[in-house]
Amino acid sequence: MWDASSTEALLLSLGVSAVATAAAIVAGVPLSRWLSRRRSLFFSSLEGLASLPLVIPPVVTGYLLLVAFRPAGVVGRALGALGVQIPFDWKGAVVAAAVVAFPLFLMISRVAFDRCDPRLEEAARTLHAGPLRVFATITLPQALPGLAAAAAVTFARAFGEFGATMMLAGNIPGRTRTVPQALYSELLAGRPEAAWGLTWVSFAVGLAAIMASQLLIRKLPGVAPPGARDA
Amino acid sequence: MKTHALRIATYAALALAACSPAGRDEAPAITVLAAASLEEALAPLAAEFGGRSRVRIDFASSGVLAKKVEAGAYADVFLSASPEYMESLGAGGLLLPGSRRAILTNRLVCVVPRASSREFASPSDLRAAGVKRLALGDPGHVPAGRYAKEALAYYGLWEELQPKTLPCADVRGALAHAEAGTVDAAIVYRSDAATSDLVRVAFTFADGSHAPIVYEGSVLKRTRHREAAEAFLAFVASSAGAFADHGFEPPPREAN
Repeated sequence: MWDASSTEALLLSLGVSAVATAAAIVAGVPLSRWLSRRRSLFFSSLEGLASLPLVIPPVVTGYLLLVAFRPAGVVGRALGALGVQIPFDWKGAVVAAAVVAFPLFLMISRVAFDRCDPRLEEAARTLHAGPLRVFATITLPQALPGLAAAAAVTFARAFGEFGATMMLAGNIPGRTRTVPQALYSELLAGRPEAAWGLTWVSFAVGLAAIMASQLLIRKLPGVAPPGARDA
Repeated sequence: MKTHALRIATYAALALAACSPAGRDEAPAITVLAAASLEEALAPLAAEFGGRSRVRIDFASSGVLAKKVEAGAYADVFLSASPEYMESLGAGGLLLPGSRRAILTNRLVCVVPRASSREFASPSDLRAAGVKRLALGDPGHVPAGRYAKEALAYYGLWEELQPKTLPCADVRGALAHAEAGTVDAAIVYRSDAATSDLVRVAFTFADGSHAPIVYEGSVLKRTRHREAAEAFLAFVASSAGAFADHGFEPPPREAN
């Protein structure tokens, strides 16, 4: 049910998901703050474009990433000059997971910023607080539970990522064989019993992330149930 | 414009309905599970056979198909890229006794992207530093991958080359990576190489370096169309010429 290769896959998946989530936070917080409360065709198309990996088949996302990142590809050539190789490397697993999970971060964090009270920001500005200070002391504390919820869901999605990862990073034992790919390989090799340990781990990670995000979202302004509001 | 598209959709739906088994009760539709490497060669044959029975083919790696049969999926004929899966299905009583036969043989080759200037004189040239990534079928469940591992082990190269290998979900996945130029070389069947203009064969593995690659076919025990299934299998086994165009060879005589 559990052996050294399961541990290897689990550690890799945890590491890959953590880095992918960190990348989603770095790119997603400024982007979702910028997109928040903007409702023009331009902004909806931008958000739609960034959200596409959520709905198109991950294998397609993975293939497009592979074409871009391969040594002869547009991005791959530039990175190759810097000595960085993305395909068939753990970094490829990070890129695949980050791209596929990013839309979830963007959606939840944009709602978190939408929920912030604009009058408080207005008040801070009348007291001559600069934009960065308004963001750090007024906006961010209100949105923080939502951003944490977004990060939890993003982590879980990255942990479960399969199709794009297989295309871009491959399923190389001990190098890019993540938990979902290890599960796939064990099942196809006729060792379903070896897959149970990783199956339970996947359940646990997913459930923990979803429950954490539910608890966190209740802390957003205007989401708490009426009774909890006065407390 | 919209009505035009709608009309086309209606015709398409009607055409599909006309093809449904209910419309042709004399010719039963048979379901064939076939190794992914047979796709190009088998699809036209199945169409040719279509005059007698309609043929539906599910192409995937032989290991995946054997799993489906073991799990109880309905099919009439199984064409496997390796005798190994036939053995296990036979032991499980899932094959129609007496129907199993060798239908084709294949060779194992190393391909490189067509644009690649790389030349290999022998398998040990795969050790070159310039060969960073070598795609093959996942030896865990893809026959082509097992043969590849066996051949590399025969030359004493497996331990050294394994870290460079990219195990793929089926042999066509390995070919696709060579076609896209995302790997430096791939080990596939000669028949796979013959399907693609985007790769060229760098060398062919010697016969003795791996077990003979024999494709076997059998009617499955749970068939409901035994006659049609047996006829299809006999038709496939007698079509050596059509398969030769796709890089396959007929089976050795004693195996028949």
